[in-house]
Amino acid sequence: MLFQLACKNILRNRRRTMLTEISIVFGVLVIIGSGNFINGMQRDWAKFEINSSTGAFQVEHRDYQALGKSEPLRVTLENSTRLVENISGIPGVHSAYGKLNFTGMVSSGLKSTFFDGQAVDVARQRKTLTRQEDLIVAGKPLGDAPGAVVLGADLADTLDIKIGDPVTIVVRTFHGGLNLTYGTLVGTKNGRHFPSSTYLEVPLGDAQKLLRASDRVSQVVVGTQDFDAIPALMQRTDAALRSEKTAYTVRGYAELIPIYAQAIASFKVISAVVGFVLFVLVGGGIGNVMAMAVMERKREIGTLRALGMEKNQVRRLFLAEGFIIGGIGAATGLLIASVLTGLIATHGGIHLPPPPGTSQSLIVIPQMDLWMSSFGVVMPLLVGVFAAWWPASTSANLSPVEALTET
Amino acid sequence: MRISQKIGTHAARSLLLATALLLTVGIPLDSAAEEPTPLQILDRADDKWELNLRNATVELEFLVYREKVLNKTYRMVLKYQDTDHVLVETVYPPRNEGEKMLQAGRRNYWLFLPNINRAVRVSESNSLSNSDFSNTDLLSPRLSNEYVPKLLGIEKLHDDEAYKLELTAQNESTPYARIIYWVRKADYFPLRRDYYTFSQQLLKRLDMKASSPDMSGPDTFVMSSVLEQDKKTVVRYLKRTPGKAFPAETFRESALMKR
Repeated sequence: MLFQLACKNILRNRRRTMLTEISIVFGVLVIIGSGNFINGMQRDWAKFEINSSTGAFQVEHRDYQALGKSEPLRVTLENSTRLVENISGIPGVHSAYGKLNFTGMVSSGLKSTFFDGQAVDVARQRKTLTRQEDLIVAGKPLGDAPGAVVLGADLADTLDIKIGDPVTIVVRTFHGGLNLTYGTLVGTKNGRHFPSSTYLEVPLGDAQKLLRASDRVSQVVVGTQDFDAIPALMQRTDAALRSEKTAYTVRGYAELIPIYAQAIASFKVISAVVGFVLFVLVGGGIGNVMAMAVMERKREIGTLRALGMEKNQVRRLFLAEGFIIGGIGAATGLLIASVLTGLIATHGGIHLPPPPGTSQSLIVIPQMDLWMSSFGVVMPLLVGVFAAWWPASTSANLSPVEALTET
Repeated sequence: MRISQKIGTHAARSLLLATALLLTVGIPLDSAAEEPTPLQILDRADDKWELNLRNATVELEFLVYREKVLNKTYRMVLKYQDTDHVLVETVYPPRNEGEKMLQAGRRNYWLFLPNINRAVRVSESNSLSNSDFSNTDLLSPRLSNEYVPKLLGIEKLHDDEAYKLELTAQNESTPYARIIYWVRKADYFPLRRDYYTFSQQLLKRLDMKASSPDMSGPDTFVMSSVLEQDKKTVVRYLKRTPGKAFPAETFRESALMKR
């Protein structure tokens, strides 16, 4: 009865109701749309980094974070071939490869400088990091032939060398002695996971021989094709490695991607601010509609009160009207946001400019975000009720005589 | 007469025979006693290099050349307790003044940076003051501690007859896998070292000489790198003051930091 009456009242001034609904729908659309965009961007950014640099997660020595910078060879994983095979066999793991981090001097014959090196199992890396080659800016990635060297683009500039030029690499071996090898520059690359001014990449076999660190790697990089199953897969891998003699640690992509956690936290703050602003705007709109209704419907309120309607019932009537206005806006906004998200996703997403340090543009496919969608739906309902509270209380407190005699 | 002639002839023959025996047996015995073993050659060359640096101060100059042009000049004071305990203090240029390198025992090297008042442990194969010398090249002269010598032969080097030694590292933690070492035969003066890596590639070459005939050991060292053309570092001893005793604390890592 009360609900029907509230619906009738809302339809009495359709133009005003329509304008209010448009503002609510716009607010809901912005909240859910931005949430979906941020969610999609977060996922696509993570996927890009996972497929080009970090893998879904990495397994490393427990002390690698503490000693990896100063003495990377001291915290390597032995029996790496067996370890990589074991990890590759865990259900859900698509592929895995070992990489070995090391430092030394690289020389062009005329200039020399320090480098931070990374040696990779080329064949397995290609399978694990499907977009790894996107980071190449000149030449080609490491091939199967030994002696190939890829440098950070800035390091190649520092050494003043071009593709095909020879380089000399000097390192301290696993045991402490000095060793030297010659290689050929086959490509240069850029990326955010390594400093381009010191980055050097060689095949794993070459580096293990040079460093006299047979069957050792610094990390095992793991790839999976199920993005959403990564946390569960990390847990399974962690459990599977607990029986091993070496103390391992498993680090996920969110930890491995530089500034990922901070960027996501920043996006969430932006979303919260947008949500708050819309909360105020939508709330103000509904409050205004309700206040106008009370002003316009004083005689009607007086009649209802004279007919015996309780103060509480009058208050509930206005609250119900606020709730219905908010509900219609929320449902419509959710529907439009879902349709738009689906349309953009099926049409290839939104193309963004390449992230700093890379030449490949980032495609964002919006993805429904449960939290922001819930917020977008619940917010106008709550705001509708909250904004209607004051007009509802005012109308309920009107004396029937005053209301009926007011002109 | 015939008898006396016979006796005389017999005596002369005996004398000749004895002389011949002495010549054929005695000379090789004497020369074998004089020919030093490879380890003795290395030890004597090490002694020459050391210049009796125990309890001594050495002031030296580092001249770093890049592309045949003098790129940097450093001056340092080395305080020796012995060849395993050395404190190197940079006194020039002003930018690097106060930097210290400490060898606090065999294979125990520390670098102190005054700007951050912090000492960090460094490897013996790390470059000394961004030069072509590694820490061990200059501060640990006694190769006989780390390498097994083998005599490859005797050959001419700079008009000097020199022993050519091949030194093989005793273990893989030694900076260089192999060193070819030329030592002057006449006085065991170290002339040249070629340093090889574990992949048997030549990494750098050190030539040594004395600035004056009075010097018993080398006081000028020229290290050339194969990594870069026309790149070398020259180290010259400017002054050596023996008989300086330093407190033991001078050679402790804890004493590096400013208080």
